[in-house]
Order: sequence, then structure tokens, then C-alpha cells
Amino acid sequence: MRERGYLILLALGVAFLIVVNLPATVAHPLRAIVREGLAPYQAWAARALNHADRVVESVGDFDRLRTECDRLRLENESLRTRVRNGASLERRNVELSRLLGRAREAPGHALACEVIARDDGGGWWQSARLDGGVSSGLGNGQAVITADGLVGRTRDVSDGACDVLLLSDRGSRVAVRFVRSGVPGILTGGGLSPAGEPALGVLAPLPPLTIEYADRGADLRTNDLVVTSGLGGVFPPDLPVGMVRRIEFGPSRLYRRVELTPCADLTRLRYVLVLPPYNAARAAAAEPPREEAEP
Amino acid sequence: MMFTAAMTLLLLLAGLLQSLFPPLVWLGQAKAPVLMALATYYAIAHGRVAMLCVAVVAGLFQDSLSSLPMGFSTVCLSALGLAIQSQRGMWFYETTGTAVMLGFAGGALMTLAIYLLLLSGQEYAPAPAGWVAAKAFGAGFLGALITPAVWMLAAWMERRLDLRGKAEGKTLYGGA
Repeated sequence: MRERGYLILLALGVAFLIVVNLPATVAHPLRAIVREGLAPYQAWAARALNHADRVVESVGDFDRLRTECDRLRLENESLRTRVRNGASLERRNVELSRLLGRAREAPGHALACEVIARDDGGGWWQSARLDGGVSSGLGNGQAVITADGLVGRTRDVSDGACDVLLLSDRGSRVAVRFVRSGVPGILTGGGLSPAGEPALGVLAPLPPLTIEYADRGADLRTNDLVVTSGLGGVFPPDLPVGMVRRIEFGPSRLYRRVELTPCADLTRLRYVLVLPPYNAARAAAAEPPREEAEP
Repeated sequence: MMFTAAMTLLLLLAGLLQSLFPPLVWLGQAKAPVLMALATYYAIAHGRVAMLCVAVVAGLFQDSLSSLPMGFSTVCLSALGLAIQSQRGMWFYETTGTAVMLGFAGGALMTLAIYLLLLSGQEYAPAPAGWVAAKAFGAGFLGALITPAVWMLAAWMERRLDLRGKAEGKTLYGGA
């Protein structure tokens, strides 16, 4: 019995060493298996929580619910009309593009996904998990957006799920430009509060989204819209990213530091769109050169 | 057989709960360390083999659910489990007070250890010291809250399945 115990301990020791030294070729499938295994339950739990959230919101306020229902009916009708008009405009657009002889790049289809979990298991990265993966045609490094603006990019894609590294993560870098002035910059995440709050931790207040090293002479104002520039080859150009909330000089006073409030509400993500992979080289070849604003 | 099934079920449940718990935004995005709480339960209530099995699998779960390199959490959970078992019966007993204390210390120490491992592997850009301290405190705080509940649930399940007598534990949490 004692020998058996030692044998089990020895086997566990070997397993321990194997786990710690797992090569990437083995670790990735293992990670994928665990994610795939838990993804349906995470999706189920996320839906259950959403339902519970809705029930709690609606209980005790039936009048508001009825008014809301009537308003939604009207809005639904209005949206249906707009969709019909939109389809008509799309057809016209295609016809005009053909007439102009422009070779239109096949844009592919954006994939709608549901957010099944927020943040990674340890809270080290700002991320969200989606219910789409390789089986839905997703890959690493695709832009993820909501109707309001850019959310982040995909990474760690497995068969039926993938993670999104949010804009607010400290490791996130996005090439952006100011719409009004055309000034370019690199946007970095602050790490903790994705809602645009200035204080992200009790002991370490950090801004959520920052453009460091903005030209000190550039014409920048608060509430300026910032969009993706398309440089870097990950994000297509002109996706709304955020609005300028504060501009200040850096410690050296050689550059300015710009804080942004994200356009998309990163704290309440439920459904997102994953854009097809952006081919910067092809897009640049297909489009006429953009006229940059005068500095 | 039933013991393994119960252990697997608890691990799955803990992994799912940990992924669903929202992080504490104001305390460094700290998340409730449910898997760590389960590992401490097996360290305090069962033998070394069961504890190491849970530590290895819980570590794999935790690393798979996040973007941590494989093995980081396994190392931390195994070290924590071995440390608890070495002092079991002297400092640590299967009581609520111990659960709160181990939950706090385990959550905070694991956060710091994983941060150091991340820095040593150059997988992570150095974060402000205040943020790391807040995160460690947050993980400890959540650990102190969640660990007694996890211990209670696990002990209740094992009692219902009549596993406590067959397992290596010497004391009963929450009364016999």
C-alpha cells in the first residue's frame, strides 16, 4: 500500500514536470480542449445571467415595460423600413460602383458573436470571450467592433471560442488618427477601468486609453473623435475608437499626452461583430490616396 | 471511483464559477480564486496524492481559462498545497477561521507569485506597484470570502456521498 502511494506520488511528480514544460504544440490543443469544454456552459451561464438581469430589471415596473414594448414596436417598424431602404441603397451603390468601373474588393462578412465571458480567468488581461472560433471562420488578429466603435482584436482562437484583447488592456496598441486634424498616434490601454473612468485602481490611478507622444504643436481639442488609421495592418481605417477627454503635456513637455473615452462601452459587451481579416496592402492598392488634413 | 467523480465535478464547477465571477475593477481586476480555494480544501482535508491531483488539474484549468502560460498556476497551487499540508494539524485545522485566513493568504500570495513568474518570463509588461498590491489585496479579500463557502460545499458533497470516511481526511468541516 505504501509502495503504491510512492508510485502515485512519483507519477504525479512526472506529470507535474510535464505540465510545467509543455511545448506550445501540446499546450495549445490542451488549452483549446479546456476552453471548448467549458464554452457551452459559459454561454449557458451568460444567457441565464442575462435573462435573470432582464427579469430583475422588469419586475415591479410593468407600466414602464408596456411603454417600452410600444416604443420598441414603433422602433422595430421604423428599423424595418430603414433596412428596406438600406437594401435599396446598397443595390444602388453596387450598380453605381460597377458603372464607375471600380474594382470593388470583396469585403467578406462580419460575424456576429455573443460575449460568453468577461475577463480572463485571473484578471491579468482585459479580455472577453466570444462564442465564435475557427469553425466560424475566425482567426487571430481580427478587429472586433460594436455599433459604437472598436472593441479590440481576436487572439487565442480555438474551434468554437476565441478571446478578444480589449482596447483597454495595457498590452493593446492601435494606430489611430484624429479625424479633425489628421494627426496620427498610437493608442495604448491603461489596464483597469474600461468605462472611461480616470481612476482605475485604488492605489494606482491610470487612464484607460491614452495616446502618448502626440505632437505638441498639433491642433487637438477635447471631444475630438479618434479613429483607426489603418496602419499596422490589423485594424481597417476609420473605425471609431474614442473621444478626447483630456490633453496635457508629458513630463518632458516635448509631447502631449491625450486621454480618450472609448466610443464602445467596454463594460457592457453582449454582442459584437468580428470583421474579416484586414489586408492593408490590398486596401491601399484598391483605394485612391487619402487627402491628409493640413497640420 | 466516486471520490474521483466528486473531485472532477468540483473542479469543473470551480472553473466555471471562476470564469463567471466578475473582477473587482477597483482592486486591480482581482478575480475570486475559486480553484485556489478548492485546492486548499483538498490540502487541508485529504492526502498528498489527492491534493497534488487537484493542484495540477486546477492549475491547468486556470491557465487554460486565461492567457497565462501553462504550468504557472500549477506550480503555485502545488507549492501552496504542500505548504498547507506541512503545517496541517499544527497551525491549520479544518475550521472557518483557517479557511478565511488561508483564502486571504493564498489569494494574495498566488497573485504575487504569478506576477513574478509573468515578469520573469517576459510575458507581461511590468505593472505599477500600487496596482499589483491592490490586485493582491483584492484576490486575498475575495479568497477570504469564497474559501469558507467552497470548503463547506465540498465537505457537504463528500458527506452526502459518504466519501469522508474513505478519504484521508482526519477532521470534518461543518460538523459530522
